[in-house]
Amino acid sequence: MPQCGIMAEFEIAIVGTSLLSGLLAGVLARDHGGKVVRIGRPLSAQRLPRSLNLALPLATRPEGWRLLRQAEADTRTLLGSIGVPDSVGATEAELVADLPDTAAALDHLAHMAVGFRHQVRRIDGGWAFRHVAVLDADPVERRLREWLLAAGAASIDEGSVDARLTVLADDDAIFDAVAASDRPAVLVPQSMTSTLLVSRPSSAPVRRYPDRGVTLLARPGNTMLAIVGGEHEIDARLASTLPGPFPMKRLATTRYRRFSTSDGAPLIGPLGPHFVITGLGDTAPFLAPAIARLIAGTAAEEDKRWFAAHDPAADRSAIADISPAIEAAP
Amino acid sequence: MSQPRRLAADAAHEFGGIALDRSKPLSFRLDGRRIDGFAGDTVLSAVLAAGIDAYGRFGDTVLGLTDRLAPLAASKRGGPLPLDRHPASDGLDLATVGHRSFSFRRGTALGHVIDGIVELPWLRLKPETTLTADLLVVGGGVAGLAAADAAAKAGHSVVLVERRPWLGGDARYFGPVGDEASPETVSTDLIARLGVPGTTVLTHAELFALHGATAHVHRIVDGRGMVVAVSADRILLATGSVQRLPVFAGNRLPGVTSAISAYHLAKRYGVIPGRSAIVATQSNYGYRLAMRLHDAGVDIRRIVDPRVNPQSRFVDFAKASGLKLAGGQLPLAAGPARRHGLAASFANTGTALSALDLEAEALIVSGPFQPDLTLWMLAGGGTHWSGGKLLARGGIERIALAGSAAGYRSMSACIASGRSAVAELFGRPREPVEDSEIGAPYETPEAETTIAPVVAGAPAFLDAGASLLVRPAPGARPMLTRHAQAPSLGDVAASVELGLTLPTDAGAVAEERGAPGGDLAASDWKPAPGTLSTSLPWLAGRFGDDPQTVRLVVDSTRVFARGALVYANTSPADPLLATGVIESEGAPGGTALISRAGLAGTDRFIVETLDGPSPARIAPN
Repeated sequence: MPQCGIMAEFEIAIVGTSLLSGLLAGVLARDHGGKVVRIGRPLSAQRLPRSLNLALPLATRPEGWRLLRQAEADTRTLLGSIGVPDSVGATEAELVADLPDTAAALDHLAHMAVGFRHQVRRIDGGWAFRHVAVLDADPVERRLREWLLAAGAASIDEGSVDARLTVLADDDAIFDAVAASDRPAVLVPQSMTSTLLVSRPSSAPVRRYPDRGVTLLARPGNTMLAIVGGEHEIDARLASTLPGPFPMKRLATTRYRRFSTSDGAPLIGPLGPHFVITGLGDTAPFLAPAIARLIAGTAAEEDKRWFAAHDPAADRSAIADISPAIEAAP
Repeated sequence: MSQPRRLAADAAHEFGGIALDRSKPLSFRLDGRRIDGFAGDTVLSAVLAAGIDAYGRFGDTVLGLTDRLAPLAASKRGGPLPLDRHPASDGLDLATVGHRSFSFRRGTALGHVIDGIVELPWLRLKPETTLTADLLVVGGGVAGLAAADAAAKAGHSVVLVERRPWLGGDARYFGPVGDEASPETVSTDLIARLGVPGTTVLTHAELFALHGATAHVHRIVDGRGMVVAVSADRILLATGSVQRLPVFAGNRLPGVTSAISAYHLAKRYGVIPGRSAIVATQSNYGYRLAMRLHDAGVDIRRIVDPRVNPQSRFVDFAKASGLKLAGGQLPLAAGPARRHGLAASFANTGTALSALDLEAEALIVSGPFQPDLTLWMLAGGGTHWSGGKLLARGGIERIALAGSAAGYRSMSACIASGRSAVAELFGRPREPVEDSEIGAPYETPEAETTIAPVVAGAPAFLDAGASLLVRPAPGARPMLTRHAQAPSLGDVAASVELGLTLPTDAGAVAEERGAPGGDLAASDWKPAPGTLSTSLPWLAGRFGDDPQTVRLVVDSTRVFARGALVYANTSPADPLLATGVIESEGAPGGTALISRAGLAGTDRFIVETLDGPSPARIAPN
């Protein structure tokens, strides 16, 4: 792991394989003049996706929506400057509730989305959201290394460097660098499964069932990507959300871990010797410009307030959000 | 119908077909066409002997009919069976499964339109019978044979399953190393030792599912397919290796065949892919095959090798036999010749321009061998990329690998590894395995898979199997996540060599697709029902420390939906300025949670509904 040192080779080391980590390193180097290194080998495009990169948070609080709305615009500009403006498309996403608390949360979420100019409509058991921004990571990843170089950021697959600040920009980096005993109690490790299935199309390209821990993404060729949280009754929960036909053939499966927060709110800020970013869910890559401004000390006041409220050391009672029942991984 | 691709019975090197009984001719019908053959033929070998070498059209290209890609065929009395495991018999009347285009159906083509791969119909069949053994050996090559022999000698019961119709695997293709006994001698000896009580051998039997200690095997008996369950305490996977396909445009056209397939077809069934052939090889064994085909009467137009001046006894023999060699060149593209057969162009290594153009009925291509770890991954084993191959990683309780599946190369090492793995499975000390090869000064090592520069023409496939993955155009999205058919290990290996997959991700990519899990059954799962909480966490602190619940009413019959934001009647509709929210619907209006500050001095609000803003006021007590 990168170490803090008096004679730091880099000002900032961004550790992570996620798209967020790459974008963050590039923005910090290009826009804020930092001597930045990104440490992490991006996953090949052939790996099963672990996130949808969707600008639709499972959140009801307006401050977070405001930040994301602004960040989405910033990210579009950023991707245009990288040369991949078409990597952001629009999709329709549906959120479906089973439990009364979640149904109430989704009602609040839908009205919040309308407040931020989204188009929504009620569906059986939940809400549909139109024109949700979705980021296709493949074209961005293919340009990223070249862009990082042009932006002045160093990039290494693995290894140690001296850096004044180490940013753990994805969950794998946090698992690797922060011992369980040093993690805040709000951070809950969760087992995840990504599966590619042969399936009839669902009613929308993206469909999410918070109470079943399942997110579905329609893929080309009558296939469906399913991301399932938790370790118990994975198949039953997943199958309950799929349109068939059954028995349904699985084409690929991978298992991994991620962090959830027990209060449903992101966790961003200093943690011991590191700066951690987690709990952003599918919205993570859209927030790269905003987080870069925070790290560089140039964030707007209201952005600073939001980040301060989500700091690991902050009183989180007033930021709790939608938090479906999740199982902690062993 | 004649058999234009059948060699004479007395062809050199037993290339008249050791599996055939030429005294017993037979004929059967396939899609209404008469096919002639001999006892010992498979349906596929007889079809290929008849000169039918095109499976059908896939997009804009035509795919060859091979042992790795062929349709299933069904008779009126039985379910669909694979052509390569289906013994030919007199009077069979078979129909291939799939979409056929009659306009395309010609003399050398089955005329299919390949728009997807038909799922194997036996995947969900229940076993008709169950066999029980101490050890299940999967694979009847020399490693599997030696393992079965070692287990039987130690008093264990054994079931050995082999997909192909014969035992002995691919050892015959490679021949002996140094002063080793010949593979024929070794295989014959090992096969003879299996005839002991407690040992059961199933050929024409493909393992397709592993559930803990039980394997499901599809077997063909008397022309009928059946599923057999094998319950075994321990499993040895001696599944061999698969020859990779060089990547170049047109690498799966009819007439293009792998060296290992060409060898077995000639040796077992006396079938050749063409009366003339070009052999494109990156290893010395390709020269050995070319010489033998030449001796058997095939016109070898050229042996092309990407290595410059390779050293090998086989190269020397080929030169001495008068065969023309071309070193430092690799296949660039293949396409139909103007009149008949294939036209292939070859480029000097490192260039993208054609330096050599040749025509022949067949193009025999040779790539390196990838250990077949498909079942290993299905059982939960890992893989990693090393030395240009995906190799096994980690261990699985009560399951072991042996032979070339475990990465061994020489016949003696494969045999030793089979015996050693059995010892380990049964708790005895594992014996050391020495894998010796003739040194580089005498035998130039094989080259990596040849990857041609991108040129216009037919698609370049990544592997020869059913996944049908095509090399993407430069800059296009890699396809391994987009195709409904799982990629083979050869696909993943080619993807690494093409720079589409990181070597560090190759094992994970293979595992993700190699062990996807069983079929998903329908489910009506729902979470245990709950009731609405009195305190919803996402509202905590949202409207100050002490928000009040009030009843809002309207003059109309409008009902406010839960979640609708409440604003002071002078405020813009900015969610950050909302002073409250509808908590529950009323009739009319609703119940709202509103901040203390919002309630100060007013009882009138705007509720932002999905249909637009609506005035509301606090209901009088």
